[in-house]
Amino acid sequence: MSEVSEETPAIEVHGLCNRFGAHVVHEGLDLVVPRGKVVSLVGGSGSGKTVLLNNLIMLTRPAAGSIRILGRDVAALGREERIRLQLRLGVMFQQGALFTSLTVLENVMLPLAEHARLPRRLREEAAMLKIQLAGLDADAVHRHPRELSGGMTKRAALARALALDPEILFLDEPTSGLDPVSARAFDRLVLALRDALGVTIFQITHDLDSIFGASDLVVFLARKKVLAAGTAEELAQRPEPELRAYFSARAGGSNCSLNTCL
Amino acid sequence: MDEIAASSPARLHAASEPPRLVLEGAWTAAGVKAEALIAAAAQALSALPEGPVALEAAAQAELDTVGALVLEHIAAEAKAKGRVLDFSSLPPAWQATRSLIAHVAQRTPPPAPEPFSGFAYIGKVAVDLARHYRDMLAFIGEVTLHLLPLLVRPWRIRWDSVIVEIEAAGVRAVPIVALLSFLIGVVLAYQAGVTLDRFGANVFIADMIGVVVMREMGPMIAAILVAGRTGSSYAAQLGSMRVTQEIDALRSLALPPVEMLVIPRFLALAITLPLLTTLANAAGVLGGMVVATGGFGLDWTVGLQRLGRLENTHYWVGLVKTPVFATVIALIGCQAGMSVRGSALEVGRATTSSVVQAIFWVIVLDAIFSIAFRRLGL
Repeated sequence: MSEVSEETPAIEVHGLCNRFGAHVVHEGLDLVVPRGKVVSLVGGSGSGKTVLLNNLIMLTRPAAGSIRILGRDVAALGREERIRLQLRLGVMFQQGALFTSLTVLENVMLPLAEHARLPRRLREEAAMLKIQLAGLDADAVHRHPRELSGGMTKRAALARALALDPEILFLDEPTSGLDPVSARAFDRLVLALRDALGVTIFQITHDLDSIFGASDLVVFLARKKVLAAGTAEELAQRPEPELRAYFSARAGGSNCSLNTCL
Repeated sequence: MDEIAASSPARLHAASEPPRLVLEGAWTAAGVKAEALIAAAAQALSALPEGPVALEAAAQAELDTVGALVLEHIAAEAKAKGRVLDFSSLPPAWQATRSLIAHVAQRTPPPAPEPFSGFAYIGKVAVDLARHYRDMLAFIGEVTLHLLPLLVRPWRIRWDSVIVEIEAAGVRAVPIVALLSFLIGVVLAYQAGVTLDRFGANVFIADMIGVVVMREMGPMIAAILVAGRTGSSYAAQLGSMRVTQEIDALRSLALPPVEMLVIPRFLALAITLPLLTTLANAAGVLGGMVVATGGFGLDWTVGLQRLGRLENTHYWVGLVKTPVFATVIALIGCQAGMSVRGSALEVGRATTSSVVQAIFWVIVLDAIFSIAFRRLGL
């Protein structure tokens, strides 16, 4: 990677608006994601995290506002350039979204087969590399997705997202549905990938342990925009009621009876 | 600058003083043509004098893990020819990427499980088929066990579900069943008319349409349409309910899925199909009559008189088959849905197989009925 690209942020969003009919999801949302960091997007249910993610991975277009991914204005791209930019992004969907008709190995090889000019032997080696980087056992590669446990599905999905060595990796709730041990292992894996591949990681998460333990930057979505951004410790000290409510959920979680909680 | 780098493919060339290979462009998943690069490296190496050869990265070059894998292969080929590549002068970021690969435990995938070959495949198909019919028998047994007590206490049947299913399978199918039966009547009348016209026996077009439609075509068209429309939707509905664990949820709430889901659908079809068949009969006869009167000069009144003189047996012979068809369609559709294991892919497979099986059995049973009725002289 050259000098100039190190300086441009991985993601720059300015004045983003999204609405569905009369329902406004985002209004004037600004966001900057620096390169080589693990950035966690948090916010209550319905705050538009997934809508924002879909904008960023170019699945949907916002109603207004500009998005620059890796220094390129997404709205101004032609078809070819758009595809080339998409290949520099890796996406891991919440449920894994592995192709059920293919084995794990074939799932990871698919993007390599379609978008890289490699002989089969090299494709297999590249896929094996990503599968093992994602922490999946080499013996599991010939299994079909339905034969995988939840944690293995997440890792296989991560391996597929890593297949083309993306510069930005988008993770949608990577630790949801995992037991605490697997979830912390996944956090460590994310940090290790950041260090080993220099990849920028943008994740949606509700997992306070990931937010505090494995995020360089936390972006809090509320009131239709980015309400606050900073380290988890900084955000936990902020006075805004939404932030206080979100971060006190962990602190106050234990000392409430059924009556007071309802 | 990334966009320029990404659009410039990976290249290499030999340089001397000291002897080295210079790597340029994007050594990335998008930028490498692996086989061409490996061949180019071998050629460049052969041009360089004996002794170790250093690798050098050009200023704008990039490397990712795929490019690093290609470099490993280049090094391996060189080693096979007795040449040594020296990686030490590559930039630190490249070294980091290389060491990432070096730490991978298993470079190549383990051998894939052997697919079934020839003879073994035939055996597998036979076993699968036997297993399928065993499951089907078990399913019929399960439905019967749940149905018998309900027949004694009919108020415990979930009639609201039955009504909903009757609407979906019956009311909504009225236009398509009526239209297609009408067209079949038209087609039959044309074929019959051409032949009968030659003998001046036009009046018998009405007889023939009446008999063929009511005995065979009406019940068949209705059953095949319902198999395609409703049997498949039963398989898809129950199949996706299995994938989303809704069936398991019912079981855990001590609500038997067969009683909740299968029996209402089965009863709905058993009620709906005879009604749809009657509709198909009427539409088919009407279609035939339209052609007979319009195309072959048959008088409406005469045609209706001929139809009126047909025995009622024809109608009942057609109608008595329909509850059997309905049972087959509902059971096959529901069993296909309930047998789904795991993924969405299975739902599609179950849906297809339910339609194929249901139509197959409808036609086979119809043939059996025809022979039986002939023997009985009906």
